[in-house]
Amino acid sequence: MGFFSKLFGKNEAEQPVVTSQTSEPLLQPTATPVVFDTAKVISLLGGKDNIASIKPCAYTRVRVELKAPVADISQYLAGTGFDSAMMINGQLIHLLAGLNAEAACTALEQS
Amino acid sequence: MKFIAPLSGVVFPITDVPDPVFGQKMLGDGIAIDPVNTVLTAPFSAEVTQLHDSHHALTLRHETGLELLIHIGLDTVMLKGEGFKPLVKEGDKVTAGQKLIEFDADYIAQNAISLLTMMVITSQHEDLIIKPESGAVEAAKSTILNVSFKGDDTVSNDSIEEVQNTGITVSEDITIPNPVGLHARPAAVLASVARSYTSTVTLSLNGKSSKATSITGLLGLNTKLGSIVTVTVQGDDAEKALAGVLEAIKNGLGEDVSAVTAEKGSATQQASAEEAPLIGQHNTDPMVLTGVKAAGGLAIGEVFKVDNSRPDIPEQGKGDSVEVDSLNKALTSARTELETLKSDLTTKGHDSQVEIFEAHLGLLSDPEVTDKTMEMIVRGKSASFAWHSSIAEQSAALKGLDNPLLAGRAIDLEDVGNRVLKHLLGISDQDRKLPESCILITDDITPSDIITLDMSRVIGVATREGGSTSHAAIIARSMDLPYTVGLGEQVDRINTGERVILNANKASIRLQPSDEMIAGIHNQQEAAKAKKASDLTVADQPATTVDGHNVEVVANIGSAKDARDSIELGGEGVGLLRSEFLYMDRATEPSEDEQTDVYSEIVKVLGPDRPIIIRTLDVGGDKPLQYLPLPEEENPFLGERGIRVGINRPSILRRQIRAILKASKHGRVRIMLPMIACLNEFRAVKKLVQEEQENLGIESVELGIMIEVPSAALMARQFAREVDFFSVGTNDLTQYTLAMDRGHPKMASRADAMNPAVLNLIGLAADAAHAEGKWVGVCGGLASDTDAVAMLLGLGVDELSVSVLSIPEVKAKVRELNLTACKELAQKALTLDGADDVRVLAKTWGDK
Repeated sequence: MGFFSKLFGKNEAEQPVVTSQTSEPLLQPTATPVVFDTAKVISLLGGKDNIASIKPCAYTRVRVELKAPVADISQYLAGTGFDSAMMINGQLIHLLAGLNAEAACTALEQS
Repeated sequence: MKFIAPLSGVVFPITDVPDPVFGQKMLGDGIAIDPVNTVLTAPFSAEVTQLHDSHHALTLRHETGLELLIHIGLDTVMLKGEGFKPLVKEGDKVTAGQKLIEFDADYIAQNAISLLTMMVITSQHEDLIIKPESGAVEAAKSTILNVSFKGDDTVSNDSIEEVQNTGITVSEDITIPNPVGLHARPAAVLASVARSYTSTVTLSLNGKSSKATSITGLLGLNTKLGSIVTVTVQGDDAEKALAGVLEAIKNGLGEDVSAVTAEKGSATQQASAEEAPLIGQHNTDPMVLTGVKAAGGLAIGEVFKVDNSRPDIPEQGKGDSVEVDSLNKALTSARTELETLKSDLTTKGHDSQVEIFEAHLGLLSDPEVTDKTMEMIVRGKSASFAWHSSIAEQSAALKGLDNPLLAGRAIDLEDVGNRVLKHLLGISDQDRKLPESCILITDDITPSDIITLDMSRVIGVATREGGSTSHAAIIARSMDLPYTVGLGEQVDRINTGERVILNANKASIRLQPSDEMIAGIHNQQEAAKAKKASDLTVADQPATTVDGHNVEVVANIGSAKDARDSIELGGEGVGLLRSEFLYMDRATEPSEDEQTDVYSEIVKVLGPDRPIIIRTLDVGGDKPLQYLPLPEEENPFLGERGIRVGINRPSILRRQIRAILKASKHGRVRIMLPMIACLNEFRAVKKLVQEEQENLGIESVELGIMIEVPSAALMARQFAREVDFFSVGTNDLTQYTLAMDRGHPKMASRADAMNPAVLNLIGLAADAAHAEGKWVGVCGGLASDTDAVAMLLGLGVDELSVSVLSIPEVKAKVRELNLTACKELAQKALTLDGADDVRVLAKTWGDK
């Protein structure tokens, strides 16, 4: 296995190549650390109890499932550390956090 | 120029994308966006030059030639199209802001590595300056990228640019080890390897070449596993670069090729060395070249080899005004020529060919080509250089798409391109005066070339490329022109001025024939000519065997003109009207009224007494229609094809059935359904026909099926109870019975309908038909093969539907035969071991 085949070969696990913390990724752009205003975001999401599930996904996103739907939150995120939000529907939201998605997810989970 | 955001979302630097292909700009520079909406729109007005099969990526070409790849998500190719819905197709012209692809964001986010969508400029521009925006952008509104060129010089295309003449030149051949050839990833890796040297690296394959730094150019080479490409390197570090590039290719360019290399014996070597197959005609005579049969016939003549190489084209222009002037003059001359051709053909009634030239006229004024040409002229290039480059670029892009429809258009484009180029270079067609009795040898020939051939001089055509199913072959057959294709590299052994024998019946060319051979062939030709003349004098007599059995000999036709010709030649009706001619080469489906008019015209030509069988639309994924998008299939011959298209789209079938029923008022019309495999298919269509008969108040019209799928022959007894007649399509029946593609260069000679397996199926169908009081015809190629006529009659065939020109010959053949003896022959044939044995039996039996 050469350099390229390691990079390009299909992953046996479904884990993305680059996001895992344990195995050192071959190519990891460095993220500028950001402080997340998790309290504000959680209130926008209808409170901690309204969150059904939360997980990092797609490298740059935090996927949040809600119990009760909320209105579009994307224009209220300025200053929260999140770049934007994609409303898949009222109960399913992707929060965009760039390279800090995992950190953002952890922060939300722990608050 | 400004690129408009194709999605709403957050701009993301390309260097942060966690995939080296994008992050290290292997495909080119650009920008990424993390989307918050789900519809990708066009960032500028462009042509969609490529839409990935998995619908996750597409390439747009700006009018300047700049190419932009938009790739939704990372590793989304693995989703195999799931979650993506394309709203455009390859070749579409789109405007800025137009919707391109819709996607399911949550599905992709959960199943792929990322939703990051990359926009990458893949065309090569040495002086490109891009300024990305940052922050949030809104789809179809915000600017995302500002693109300009240093000194505002415009785009150059690497694949055509002249090679610099410094340093040394070295070259070597190498076999591509990648399982699917140089697709995007290995091409990107190769381009980055090539860029690390100062020398110019060029790859060539089959007469096409591309700079190794041009990814689109490399893709356009259409390499496959085992393709042998020539790597040519020119420059100061040539030797080092050649070694480096060869090593990189050998190691798979980032793909794991160890498995493939381990099996070197199977894949790689077979592709390189021409091994003699275990079975098949061993070509023992080194002076005989063999290809694939396209149209039969025999010709002895002098070779004229068309020079397909690029003519000497001056690169530098003599000033804008001079060059623009000469371009305009050339365009005008070409236009006049095409108009003349068009009106000539119109008066001769070749309507479908007229459409070809109409399409050519359209291409002449295509702004994509003319604008690009003008632009290059303004930059100091000669008109011929600019024109040739624009055409080459366009056609390479079309050919690179692996889409037969677009590749066909590329041939048209080159056809037009060469016409104009000849004027620009001052080469008139008179300069290539063809010799008398000329056998034309060329790389490939277009339908328009064939129609416009000087038939008083050209007596045969043979080509390097091409399969026998091409449109050109059908035209050659109708013109009685011997035509062989697929000679491959053997073409290089033939020289202009040489005398050869083209035996298109066997798809072979005999080099340096002896005088005796030529005399023999001459005598055979003379005898055949005399026989033809005598057959013609009695063509209108019925075809009755010596023991008084009458056989109906009818024609396979595709137009009203064919119908008229068939009557002239003694045709007793029409056994197959291919209705496809009405549907091909046009942008919209023919309306019910148009169809009614065309069918009625043909039915009226035949009059009230001659029967005509109209076959419903018989197309498939292998011959797509513009307005009937059939998905690209892994295996079009086993896919949605023939009646299956109509069953899945009943409205098209219903319109055609209604039109045929309306036309049936004018004569004896029968309807035939192609590709029937199961009874329920027939019943479903029969119900539709009955409904429309009632709706239109038209009396019952006979409804039959083609026997071309083995299942229909094996179940002929069940079918015979419900249909009115059978007609055997021997070409498809052979192909499906033997699982051999009749257009395949290596299989074609073995896909012989005289194989006892195929004859057996024909016999089954005939017996079943007769047991139920029905009749059976043959409308496939075997019916026109005079060696097979006795066999078919012996198997119980009642009607022979043959090509128009063979009518007199087939009728004459029938008159020589004795039906009782034919039956004995057929029974004997069914016990034999193979097609070759049957052919020998048929020949020797005839000598008795």
